[in-house]
Amino acid sequence: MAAEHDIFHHVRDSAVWEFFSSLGWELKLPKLFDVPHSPFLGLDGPQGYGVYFTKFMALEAIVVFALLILLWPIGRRARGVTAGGQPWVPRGALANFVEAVLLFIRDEIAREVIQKPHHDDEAHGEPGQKLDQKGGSGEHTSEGPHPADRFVPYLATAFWFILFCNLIGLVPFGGSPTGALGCTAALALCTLGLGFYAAARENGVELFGAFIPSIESPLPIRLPLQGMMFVIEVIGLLIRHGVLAVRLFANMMGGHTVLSVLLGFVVMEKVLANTVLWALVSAGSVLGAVGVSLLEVLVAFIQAYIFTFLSAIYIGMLVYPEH
Amino acid sequence: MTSLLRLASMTVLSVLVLAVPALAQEGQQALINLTGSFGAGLIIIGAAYGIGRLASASFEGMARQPEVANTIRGAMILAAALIEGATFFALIVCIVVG
Repeated sequence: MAAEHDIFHHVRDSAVWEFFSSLGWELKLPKLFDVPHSPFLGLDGPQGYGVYFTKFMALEAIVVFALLILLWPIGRRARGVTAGGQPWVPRGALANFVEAVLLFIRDEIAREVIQKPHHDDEAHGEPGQKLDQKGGSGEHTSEGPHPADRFVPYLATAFWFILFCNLIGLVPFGGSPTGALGCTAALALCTLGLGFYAAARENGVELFGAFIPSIESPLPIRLPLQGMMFVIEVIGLLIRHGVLAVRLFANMMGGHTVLSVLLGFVVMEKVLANTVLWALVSAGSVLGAVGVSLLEVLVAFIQAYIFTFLSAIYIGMLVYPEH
Repeated sequence: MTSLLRLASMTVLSVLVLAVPALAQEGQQALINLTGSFGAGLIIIGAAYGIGRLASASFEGMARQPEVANTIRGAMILAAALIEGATFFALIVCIVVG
């Protein structure tokens, strides 16, 4: 029906950064090296098939640059103390905003979710005795170090990176790098890697012990059951992290595809033939695209939060497995 | 009345589904082409039903206990995102394969 409108054209990664291609305003990005033909390794570009410095890579570089400019100065100032020896207090809108987000990640995500299981032989329930292990309910925010604090750097990095990558897809001529499965798969691999590394440091070899449930039966009955459940748990672990990647990828790709389809109604042949129809369809399309873009802003924030939250849960499940 | 409605809709559905291979066998065009678009339609039924139930339960909970409304809202958004994740997984399969 539509002449040449490929709805995935501006949603996919590409080796040409198009601004107004009908005017010839496009940026041909450089090729890095050649690879054998495969759906996973390279893409087709103006210089043949190979690995390019693609549009999404350039956008990720822009995101990293923007994050450094925004966050590094605040981080440097936050490390120190003021002249009177008091802890640093943020001043100004940006510093307060960054502090609010980081406190949210620390208190509501990391400390809520990653909790060291306390053993039953410690006395608790006595009023006035402070348990220094459980995370805050939002009221005790300055308790001192919590075992979940060492994961906050990774979680905060993931949150900021995913949020900015999602939002840069809504900027004109931009695109969201998280709409490529490679980017989200790399992020999910980082979560898995951190989970394994931290679990290995914490538990040693018995980190796989959590995958074997204890069954009270004689050995010949117990062993095949435990073996099967171990395999199922490992598969579940890999699938959980894979779905983490696919969820973010599908949300971003789907949103931009819907936007592309909505705007594509304007360039259909049947619409372009008739001026009145074209005017009506253009108005409707643009209004619809504005609405969907606002929804995409919401989805960008929600998906960044969901990725961070689920990463914290999966890391917590590996590091402090429930017995 | 509702059981009659249920019976009627089940009849219509089964006729439609069985009509597909039946017509194709006679060499005519099938009534429903079981393509990716059809799958996407099925997926949205499940997803919208699930999220609708989630929303109704959380609104009821917020109405019963307004002081925990914020907690319920947070949990609602989390659960909705998880359901949507599964939906999008299936939609990707529909788009790529169908």
